[in-house]
Amino acid sequence: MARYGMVIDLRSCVGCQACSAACSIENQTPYWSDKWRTKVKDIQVGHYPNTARHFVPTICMHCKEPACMAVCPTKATFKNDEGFVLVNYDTCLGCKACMAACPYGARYVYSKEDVRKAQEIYGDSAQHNKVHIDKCTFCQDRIARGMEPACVTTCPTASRIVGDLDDPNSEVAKDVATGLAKPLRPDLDTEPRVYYIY
Amino acid sequence: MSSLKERNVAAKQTTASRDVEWVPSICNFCSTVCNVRIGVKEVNGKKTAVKIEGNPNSPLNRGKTCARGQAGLKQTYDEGRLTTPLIRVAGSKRGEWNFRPASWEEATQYFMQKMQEHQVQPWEMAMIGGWTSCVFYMPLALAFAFTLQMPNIVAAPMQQCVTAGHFGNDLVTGNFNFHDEVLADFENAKYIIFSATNSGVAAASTSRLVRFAEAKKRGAKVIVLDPRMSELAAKADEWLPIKPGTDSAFFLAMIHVILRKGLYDVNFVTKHTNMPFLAVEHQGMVVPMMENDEKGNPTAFWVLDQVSGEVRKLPGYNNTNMVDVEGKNLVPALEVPKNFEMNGQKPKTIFQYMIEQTAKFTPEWAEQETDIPAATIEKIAIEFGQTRPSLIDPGWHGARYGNMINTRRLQSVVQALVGGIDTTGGWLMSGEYREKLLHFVKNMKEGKPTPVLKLPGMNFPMTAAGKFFDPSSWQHNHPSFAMAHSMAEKAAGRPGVVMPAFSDYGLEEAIDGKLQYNGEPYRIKAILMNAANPVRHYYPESRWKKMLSSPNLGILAVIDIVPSDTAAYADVIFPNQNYIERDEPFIYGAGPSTDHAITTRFSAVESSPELKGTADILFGFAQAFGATDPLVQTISELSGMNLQDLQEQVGKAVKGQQTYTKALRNVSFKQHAKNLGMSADKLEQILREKGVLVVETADKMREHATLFKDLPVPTPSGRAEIYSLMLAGFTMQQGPSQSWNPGLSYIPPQVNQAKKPDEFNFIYGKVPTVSYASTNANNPILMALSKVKENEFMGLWINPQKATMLKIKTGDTVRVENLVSGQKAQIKAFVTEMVRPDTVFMASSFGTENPLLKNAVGVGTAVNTLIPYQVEPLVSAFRSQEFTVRVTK
Amino acid sequence: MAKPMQLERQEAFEWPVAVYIFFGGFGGALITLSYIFNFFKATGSMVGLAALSGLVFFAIAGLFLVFFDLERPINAIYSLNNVSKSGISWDIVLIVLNYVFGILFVIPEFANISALSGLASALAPYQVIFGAIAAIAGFMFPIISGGLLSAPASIPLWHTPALPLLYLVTSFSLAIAFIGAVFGPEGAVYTAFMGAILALTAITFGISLAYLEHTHNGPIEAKEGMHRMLKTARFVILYPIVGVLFPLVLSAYLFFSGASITWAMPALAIALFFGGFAARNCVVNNGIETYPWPY
Repeated sequence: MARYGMVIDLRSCVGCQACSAACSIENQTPYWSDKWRTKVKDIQVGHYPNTARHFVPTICMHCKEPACMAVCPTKATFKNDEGFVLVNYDTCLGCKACMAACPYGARYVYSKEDVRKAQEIYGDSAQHNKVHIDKCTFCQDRIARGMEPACVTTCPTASRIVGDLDDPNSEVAKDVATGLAKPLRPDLDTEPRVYYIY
Repeated sequence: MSSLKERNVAAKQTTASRDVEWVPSICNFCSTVCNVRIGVKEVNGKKTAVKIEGNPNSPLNRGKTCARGQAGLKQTYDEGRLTTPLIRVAGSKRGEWNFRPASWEEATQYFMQKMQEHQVQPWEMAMIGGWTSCVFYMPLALAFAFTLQMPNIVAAPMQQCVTAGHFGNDLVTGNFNFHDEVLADFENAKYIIFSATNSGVAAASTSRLVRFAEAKKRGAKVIVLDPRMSELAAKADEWLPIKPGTDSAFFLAMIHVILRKGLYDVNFVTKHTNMPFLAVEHQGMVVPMMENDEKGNPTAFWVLDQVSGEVRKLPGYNNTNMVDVEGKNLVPALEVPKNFEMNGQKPKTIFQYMIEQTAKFTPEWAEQETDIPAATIEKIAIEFGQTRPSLIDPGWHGARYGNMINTRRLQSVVQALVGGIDTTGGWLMSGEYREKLLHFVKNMKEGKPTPVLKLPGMNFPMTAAGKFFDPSSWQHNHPSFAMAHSMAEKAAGRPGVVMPAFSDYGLEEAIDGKLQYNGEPYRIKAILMNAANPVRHYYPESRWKKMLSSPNLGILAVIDIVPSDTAAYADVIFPNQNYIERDEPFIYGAGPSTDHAITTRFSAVESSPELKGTADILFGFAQAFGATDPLVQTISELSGMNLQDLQEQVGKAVKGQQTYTKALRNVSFKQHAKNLGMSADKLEQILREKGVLVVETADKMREHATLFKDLPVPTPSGRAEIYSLMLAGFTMQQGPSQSWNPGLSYIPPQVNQAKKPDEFNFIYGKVPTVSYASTNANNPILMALSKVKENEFMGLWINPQKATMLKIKTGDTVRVENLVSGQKAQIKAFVTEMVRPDTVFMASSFGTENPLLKNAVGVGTAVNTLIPYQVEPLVSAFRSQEFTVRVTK
Repeated sequence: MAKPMQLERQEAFEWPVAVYIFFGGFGGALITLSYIFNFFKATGSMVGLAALSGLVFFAIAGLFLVFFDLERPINAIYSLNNVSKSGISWDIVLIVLNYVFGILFVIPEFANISALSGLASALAPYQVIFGAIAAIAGFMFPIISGGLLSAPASIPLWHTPALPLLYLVTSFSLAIAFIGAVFGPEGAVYTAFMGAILALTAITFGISLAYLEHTHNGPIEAKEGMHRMLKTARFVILYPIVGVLFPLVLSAYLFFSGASITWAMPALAIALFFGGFAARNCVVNNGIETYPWPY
């Protein structure tokens, strides 16, 4: 089975937020309360005129050793066959221990008010009908249909690429193998599946 | 392995795009016109658009869409959506949202009744079109105006972008609408310079962005001139925070260096530009030696042949300088010997004159103007000249300064000097443009006329706008009010405007009753607003509110999708189908795609029966005016669509058997199918399946239809004009001016340079989540994304060096006062190192006022509360940054 | 170029978690103490009251968690799924153990109530075992619930064993002062109480210094969190001054001088109560994290 991973290329990201929009619509996340599964940080450094502005897309890293999964009391957080870290909306207790544990800020509360609003907007196509802690699913539903995650498909700068990390010929595997793409906070031993080129 | 239960959980977590039917369409959230597909499925028993993606078959945007493209589907379900025709409640004031629902018949009748009440003459009507109308409905809008004898169209992108910026490029290359005709080949360029642009690439034009990203990944060197660190400047290897409005000085210095160090492409400059043409100096002006026909078109030029040493006569309109009028080969000289004489005159080449003219534009001089070190300018000029392919982005928005057209022209000159026009890694022409040019050149050779709408590049506006300027082309002998105003101004000894094409110049005077033409008042009494929002997108808002509130304006009709700030001033509103709901009346070229491709929209979801497509609305008006048949005739004349087919199909629409949109669509499909050698049904099937049909690939087209190599361009001479013959023509007509100097000259920005400590240059720009369409400010997702970056997007950028002194902190509300016009506005401050200390920046497109736009109302500040009415004298482009502001806490 | 840091407050835990850790720890300490009192054959009412009040505080802790923090408390039924790793699961196990064995333990203390006498005598032989289990659970609770904060590596202000240890120690000092205030012990017991408070407060002082050191030398997020805490007047007054120095000085004086002041125990209890809560609430409030971007 393919071991999907993502490489995010910060050299080309311009911070257009297409990923956030695509994700929000595809996964019905609560844009109305400023909650996103993927965001783009706009980091400004230096002093005029020696300044730099970096755009860093954030997303769930789908860690091999997810800190969030370990702390979940109900095992609502689990890894599926492809290794994507998912939340079972039915059994989530909403204790937020996972939110505190995640070093990558990938989780938020899909609150009662959010559920109400989602049902108002999406009607019988609403995906989130219960309060739970929400996070990126790597669009595993799209992957299952042979598509790429919504953020990857739409990224106008192709700054996000996905592929099989176990296939040495895939672009992501090459980027990782050559050291071009690196994980964030490798010291935490979470073994992310999302790598960054910077 | 996960458990069965976990697998079930995963299977339940579906995404919006599961089980959708994909319907091909074209994005309508900016004029990049990306090919998209709309995902549709049943929600609550109703077919609903649930997801948009880029069309993977698109040669333009390659399956990608930006945030606006993604979020676009929310427009269909906007809470504030106009759902029925509306008539202003009697006694209420324009500007108040006080309407009563009406039927289409009632609304149309109301409009006609007002026209009669105010005895509106044809020339007293004006149509104001947004870019949608310009990009998609040009055939309809033009035909409608011509048919009704209405010489007035104000088109939203002209004074902001097309004439205000592109026109400068056009003077060199002969293009007209750079958005649609040119796609910079970032992917293959090794060195890229951007000036005065963010919108055109990073903020965000997806077709450009997909290519620019490849350049970044490949490691192309990127230079960005911008007084603030925009999204694009953030990607630069070198960000040059240039003094606002001085970019042309930078380019002049580049030209200075490139010409002197021999870094230009000798081959291209010799063969395909007018640099080798012989010219003389006449009353201080360089004048090429040439012959003209009675229309003023050049019929011959002279060059010195390097091989024979003889002077040779070249054809007046040609793609190359290597063949003379007799068909003999030659190699023109770029320089003539010192004592060269001809017919008793001492001509030099244009090249030599350009060397002379640029003598004073040294990098040291440019440093004084731009604040960029001379060494940096020289280094960049050398690198740019030595690296092939190198590329200067043609730009997007213009306006800003009276010198912007010159700035865009100079950057085109640099591009021409390195031979980067219609070349790999340079400016590539769109497939549709090549196709038009091929047809035009073929027709010209055969002595056949080309329908107006099929004219390539500059030929189109010169013909179309020319008609609006020429009183004799109208039965009532009135030119456009803008031209009438220009004539009145000139008669009063003021400058006027040479070519106020599709401009709002003089509209205020016309509405006020102050405009005189032929000794009689020239009034504007009726306005038809089509997908335009001038109260927000023209300058300043106070001018538009005043004009639209004037009792002299008898009737203001608005066609729109969501109520804009302008719609609040309407007397009658006609609700429009949006791009997700409508079938298009035409087949279009795929924007600036370098492949020759065609595309159109398919209705993805059914609209309420109360909504109509633009074609049906305009035909509705035509019918009310009793002008259906002439409209059909004019559409045929302008577009070349078969008249019989049009009559037959529109006839069915008149009988109510189909919509007018469908009628035009049927003809359009039939015509394209015929050209492609297939049935209309087959074409429909292909387009429905793929969204885009590539007729001929870019590679194939470039083999036989490359500009300059194979085809002359639509400049007066067919060559790339370093020396502009069109501007020379203006000089002869109007007398000399820096604004239309045909050579290389500098126009400094007219901005107070000796600033007080709290006085700043004012600049504005676009952000990736907002475009300048009439009403997408209300999109809930885009607004949410904008609020994620509230400081950057809605704040006034001010450097801490100044902010500290003025005791301003991020989040403080500050007052901004225009020191030229006295306009005032309030805005939250964003203290950042990312902007020049002498300059403040704010993003455009916020500050919506219509309370029906619940997500947008009251968010941010509108730039046009600060920008005054100032236009430059060539095309009445907005001088929208030519002032300073005072910022106080 | 300076390392860019966008320091953001964590969004997971709010004041209800502080209340939970505080009252839970307090309750746990009381139950443990009641077992110890029982072990030392203290008066039945002291044992019973300590255990009962412990259960009440546990209840308060649990209620706050359930009603103010958990998004879907009903799903607590699933919460034993991950006992091996999850701190919350452990907490719930500990609460259950405390309740079940705490009640079983305390019933024999109320043998004089006729309705309970039969049950009391039946349970009496096992009271020590029940008590031991409850005591261990009670002892563990402040550590495990403190672990809720100390577990996430991404919030360095929290990520130290010093925190659970601090919560353990302060829970016990408060519990002792509380019992002392209620029963007003005299003589050797008073001195023992005072000695225990002194020892625990001294340890608290030591751990606090170590914690300060941890944040001072730690990552920028920890420094920033501590910085923000030290800028909060409420925290500075309530924790270092009222919650540590004051009890330290007072208990040292009373212990070493052998003097006895009537208001001392209630004052210590109040000081340790507010100090202890501040030590939890302010730490929760100032958990700072930063996205680990690669620049």
